[in-house]
This record gives sequence, structure tokens and C-alpha cells, in this order.
Amino acid sequence: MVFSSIIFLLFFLPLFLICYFASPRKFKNIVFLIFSLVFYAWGAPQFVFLLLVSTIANFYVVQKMYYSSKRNNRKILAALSIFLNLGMLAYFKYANFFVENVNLIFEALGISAMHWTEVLLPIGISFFTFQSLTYTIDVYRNVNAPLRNPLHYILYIIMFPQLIAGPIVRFQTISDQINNRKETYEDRLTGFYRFIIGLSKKVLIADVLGMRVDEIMGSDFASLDSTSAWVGIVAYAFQIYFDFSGYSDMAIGIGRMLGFKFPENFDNPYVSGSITEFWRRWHITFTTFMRYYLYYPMGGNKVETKRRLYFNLMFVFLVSGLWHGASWNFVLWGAIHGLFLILERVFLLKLIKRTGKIFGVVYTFFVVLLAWVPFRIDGFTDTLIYYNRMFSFDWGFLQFPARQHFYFILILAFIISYITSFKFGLKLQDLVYKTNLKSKEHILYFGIAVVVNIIIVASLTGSGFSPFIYFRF
Amino acid sequence: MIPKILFSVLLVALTLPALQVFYPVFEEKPLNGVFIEQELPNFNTDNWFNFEFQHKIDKYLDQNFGFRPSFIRLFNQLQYSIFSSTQAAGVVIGKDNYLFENWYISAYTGSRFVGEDLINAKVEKLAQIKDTLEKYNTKLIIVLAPGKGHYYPEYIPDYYDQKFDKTNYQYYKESLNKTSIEVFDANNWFTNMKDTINYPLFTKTGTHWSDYGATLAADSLLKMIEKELQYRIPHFYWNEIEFSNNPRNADNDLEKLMNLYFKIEQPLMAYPLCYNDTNKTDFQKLDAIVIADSFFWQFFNGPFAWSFNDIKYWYYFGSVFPDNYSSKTTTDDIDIIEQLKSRELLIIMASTANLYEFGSGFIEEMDSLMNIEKRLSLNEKMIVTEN
Repeated sequence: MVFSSIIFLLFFLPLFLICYFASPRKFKNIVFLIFSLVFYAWGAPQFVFLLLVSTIANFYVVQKMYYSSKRNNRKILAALSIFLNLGMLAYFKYANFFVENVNLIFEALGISAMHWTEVLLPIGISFFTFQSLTYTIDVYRNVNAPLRNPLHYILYIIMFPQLIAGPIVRFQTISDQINNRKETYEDRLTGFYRFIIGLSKKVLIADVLGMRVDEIMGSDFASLDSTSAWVGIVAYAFQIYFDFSGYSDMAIGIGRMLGFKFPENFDNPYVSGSITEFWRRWHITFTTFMRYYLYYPMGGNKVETKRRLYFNLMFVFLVSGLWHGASWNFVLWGAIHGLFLILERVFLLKLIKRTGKIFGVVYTFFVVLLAWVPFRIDGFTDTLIYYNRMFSFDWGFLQFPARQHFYFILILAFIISYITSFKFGLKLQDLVYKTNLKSKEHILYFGIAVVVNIIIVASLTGSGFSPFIYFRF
Repeated sequence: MIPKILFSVLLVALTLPALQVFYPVFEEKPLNGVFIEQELPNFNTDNWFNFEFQHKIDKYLDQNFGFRPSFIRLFNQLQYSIFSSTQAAGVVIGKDNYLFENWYISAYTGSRFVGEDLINAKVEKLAQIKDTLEKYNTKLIIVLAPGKGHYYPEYIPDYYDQKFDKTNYQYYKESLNKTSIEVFDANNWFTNMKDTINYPLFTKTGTHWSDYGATLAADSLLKMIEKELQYRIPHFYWNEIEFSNNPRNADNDLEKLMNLYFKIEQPLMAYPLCYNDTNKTDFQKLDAIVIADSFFWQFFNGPFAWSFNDIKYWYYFGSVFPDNYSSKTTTDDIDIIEQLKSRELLIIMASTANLYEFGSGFIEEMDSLMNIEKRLSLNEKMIVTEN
């Protein structure tokens, strides 16, 4: 079930909110848990038991680890928990990829291929595995005590707002809120406004861009002109940003309605003046995870040689690429980012400082665009052809009159993405995301949110309704 | 206090579309157009675990939540008013909001030209079919119905700027003219009349010939039938014409399909008030078969049909009307040769867009049936000779 669907917006969410708010305080978490299980089971019925069993097992392993007095036992149990989590991730997400590559090598060596039944990928495994890891590691490092109630732990792992696409909520961020959170009408309303902001980004912007992107990416690249290739990748850059940040806004919004304070995940990434800055603004909770649980343990910046520092950076980004998907194209995406981060450390940052902010922003967007190509396209050959079309400078027409809606949204996406480069844009952003509203302001915000919600539902249902005059036969 | 009230209002508002499903308090105007209706699936563990149940429930609820028609009309109106676009299948918004189905534009530009060889082969088969039908005493008439793209090229959006050398209409016309097949070229007739006639033969927001255009075409076709068959058949007449800016019948079929809140502004349209001359009795009514696309509906349901004893309408050479109204009947269920033998007239009608698949498979089917007949009669002859 996705948030931007009729079943979620008009059936699941209203029913959940009524049950949740009608429940006495002590049953709220149970209601939340039951709805989260239904939410997950709806999209991945065959994996819900696996998720439950692995989560419960991890809960008890971590508890045993925490109460173990021997240091070695703690280490072994922590390793077991990490192995359990990463093992599941490795099997479900990377086994197919691994076998595929081994078979390619076998084929090159003239050995017959391994027989393998393709493994299905459980929805959200990358996200809940990371959350589970933060729990194990934070408890191991004594940052937090483990939860006492297994239901609370299951809830932390599978609470539906952030289960499928984040933000990745570190255990230490919400450990207190699971047991003891404060719900106010102010939060319920501002949470709803935030949800609507996210839903608008997803439905009114990302989905509109996505339709054209799919057309371009589904075409024969060899006959694509440069205009279409650039339009396709620029539109994709905005599509993925509005889609992903929209989803985060929705998760944060629902969380806030229930009294949770989830961390922010995006901070206007396209205004970044460098790739280094981009990664402070893009998918912040993921970057934070990688920094605390991989980069720092490898030594981070505090290493003896620059070579080691560059190795650490590249390694983290190659792993980041693989986390996004089991394909060499994602590794290439990570490699491009890693390479430019290293180049920035070597000389580019100094150059950007001298040339000014605008050059930095243009350069960053250009590199990000180049990296989005392998991220969006399947297969290395097609990626190369697409690059070739982008830089063949064989320009075609924009077809503006036939695609007014798309270009209007593309321009709007551009404006929204870059307006915060200016002071008035930041003020506008603060106004849109404002919390602690006065009563009169609530009436205004509420009215706007309801109207926008009606347009979103209209858009969701209307965009899929294409009737015919008659059936032909 | 205000946040509390607003939040309560929110909860009520969010539940309204679901409540309307179970307790339909508000009456809603249904949507126009045809679409596949989703059915509520039965639950079992198999379809739950293979995701079929969830998928079907999603689809069912997408189509069956409260106030859906209003939501869809809102979306369509916004799309139309802001971006001049529509979701209705195949509909293109042209200049001055003239509506087209895109295949009529393609028929005009020639982008769906099927090629000379294919057309030549088809026309050759048609000539053979004509000869065979003559043996059955059945007359064949081809009607090249008009297309909106050919009639209103000036309203086609500029982005359809690529015009090809040949169109299916143009080449079929040339090819048919080389044979002795009778052709009623309504497309040419309409475009020639366009500048001299007072009322539109195609409306602004319809895809078929206008009520007025269809009436003129039906009248001319009847005269042609009478001449070709040398029968006296009853005619319809009109003395009076009503005028309206509100389209009637199918004259705004594309606009209806767009499901908008507000009507599109229309020029004045003409509606002849037809009547049948019941005083005349010295005529014969014909039995006919018509293989046609949707352009024939206005004839089938209009005064044209008054001149016939019985018309079987083989819609796209698929469903058989009027039989299909009582029980599902298709051309697969009937003996085509016997049907043709029992009729005085066969009309094959195709508008410019449907020349892409002229005959909707009838020509090929008939060709194959004729070959079987030939083989059978050859066999019979051989048996007689041997004996």
C-alpha cells in the first residue's frame, strides 16, 4: 500500500486515525502496531511472518546482549544480531545479483551456470534493516537501554509511516517517544498539513514528471535526440527529489499527528554548491546512518593518510550505491558521487570558492544529473547510449504545446527547488512549514490543506480514468 | 478550541468518501463513457498470498469510492481549463477547442498509411467479392465515411505538423475508382460542401458526422441505393429544421467523454425534423447487411433505417445488431455466406480513420470462404467427371 493511493487516503488512513484517537492511551501502540502489520501485509503478505520472526529474534538477542556481563558475550551477541540483519538483507536483496555475476564469470570460463530460483525482495527491507541495526549498535554502545516490551520494538521497526521509504529513524531518536509521547491538537493539525505538503509533492509534481520520464526512458535511446535526453534526465532529477522528499514529508506528517518527531530527511539539496554539501542535504537520515555506522568506524576523516581517507569515502559511496539497488548501475552512481567528493577534497572545493556560489550550484546539479543516468537506467550499455545521446548535441523540439502540463510542472519543480537560494524563498519555506500556529492561521492552513487534498484525490482518480466512447466490438 | 474543532472536522471529512460507499446519502451524476468495471474479489489464502486479492481490491476501491464522479470532473475541468488537455481516451483538443480523436488526425496526416500493396490487394479481393455477391443477387456498395481531420484540418493543433505523401483515404479512393465497385465518397462530398453549407456537417465537440451531416449523407446514400438497385424504396423527408447551441444525440460525444463541469461553447447546429412519407405505398423495402464502424449508428437508429425491411449491422464485423441487444451475437455465430445470399444489399462503410483496417476483417474472411467454396465446387465437378 502506498500513501498516494485511494485505498490508503480514503479507507486505511481515516479508519486508522479514528481507531487510534478513539483508543485509550495504553492501547494506542497496539492499535498502531496492528494497522502497521496490516499495512505491511497488504503489500508483502508472504514476508510479514518473516519480518515478525526476525524482529522478535533480534529483540531477544539484543536484550540478552545488553544484560550480559561478559564483554565477549556482548560482542558475540552484537555480531549475531548484525549478522542476522545483514544476512537477511544480503540474501533477499543481493543473492540474485551475486548469482547472476557468478554465472557471468562461469559463462566466460565455459562452466555451466548455477541453477537458481530468483528470490523476491521484501518491501522496505533496506530501511527496516538499517533501523534494526541502529537499535543493536546503539544498545551495544550503551547509548540507549533496550526496550522492555517486544511489541514496542516491533512497532519501532514496522511503524507504517516510515516503513517503506524512511526516513531511517535511529533508535536513539525516538526511543523515548515509543513509550511516552505527547499528543496535541496542534501536532495533529500541523502533522496533517505536513502530510498534505508531501502528498502534493508526490502526486501533483513527481507523478506528472514521472509519466514523461517513463515515456523517454522507455523509448529507443538510439533514436533519442539530445533535447529529449536532457529533458528526461532533468525531469527525473526533480521527479526523484519530489517523490522521495514528498514521501518523507508524509511520513513525518503522520508521525507528528501521532506525537512522534521523526528526523528531517531533505533540506533543499539542489541548492547545494558542492557534492559535499549535497550529501548534507539529500537523504539526510541515510547519510547520517552511513556516517555513524560505517564511515566513522572505518576511521572517517581521522586517518593517517589522504589515500586512506579517499578510500574510505569511495568505499562508503560504493556501499551506498549497492544499498539503493543490487545492480552495477547503482554502484556506478555511488562511484560518481564518491569520485567527485574526492576531487572536491583534492582541488574542486577551492576552485568553487573562487568562482562563486552560482558556479557551484550549476556544477553540483550537473554532476548529480550525470549520476542520475545510471541510477534510472537499467544496464550499462543503455547508460552509455543515453550519455551519448545527451552529448551528441542533436537538438530537437521541446513539443511544449502538446505537453503544457508537464512543462508547467517542470518549471514549478525548478522554482520550488531553487527558490530557497534566496532569502525570500527561505521565508516562504518557513511559512509553508510553519508550526505553532495561531487559531486564525490554523483556519487558513486547514482550508488550504483540505482544498489541496481534494485536488490530490481528484488527480489520483482522474488521471487513471480514460473512458472510451464505445467498445469497438 | 479551534484546533480541536478543525481536527474533528478533518476526521469527518476524511471518512465521508468511504461512508458514501456504504450509505450513499448524496446522489451523484454518473460518468460518461465506457470503461472496464472492476469486480469485488473473493478472499482466499491463495489470492491473498499471490497478491491478487489486494490488487483487485485496490482497483475496485479506486473505482468505487464516494464522490468519485465529482472528483473526476474536477480533475478533468482543471486539466482542460488550465492545460487544455484531457484524459479521455484518444481525444485531442484542437484550436478554438475543437475536439478530435487522434486517429482522425493521423488519417488526415497519413501517419497511419498502410501502404499501396496492402490496399491494392484488399481492393482486388473486394472486386472478387463483388462478383461473387452478384451471383447471390446481392449488391455491394462501399461508403467512404468522412473524418473530422479531413473536414476541419484548420483546427488540428500545430504540433501535428508532419504531413505524409499518401493517406489511406486517398489511396483507397484511387484504387477503388479503378474497379467497377460502387463507391459513395462521403468524405469528398463533405469537404466540397463545407464552404457552401450553412450548418456544420461535423460539430465542434463530436467525433462523428453531425446529426445534420448524417441526415444529408443518409438521404444521398438512399438515392444512390435506389439508382444502383433500381428499386423504389421509401424515403424520409424534412420540411423543418430546428437550431440549437446545445448539441443533441451524439453531436458532443467527445465532450461528454471528457466529463467536465462546464459546457464547451458551441456554434449553432441544425437538426432536421425528419418524417416518413406514409402516403406512398408503391415501394419495396430492402433487406441489407452493413459492415461498419460507429459512423453507421446514426443511420441505424435514425430515418435511414425506415427505408429497410431489415438491417443487420455487423459492427466492426464483430457484434451483430440488433440481435446483440437481446443476446450476445457475433459474426462468429452466423453463417456469413447464407446471410449474404438472403440480402439484396451489402454496405461496407468505413470512416477515414478506420480505413487503416478497412472491412474489419470481413474482406479476408470472405476471401477465405470463397476459396473454400471454389475448392468444394471443383471437387464436386471432379467427382461428376470421374463418374
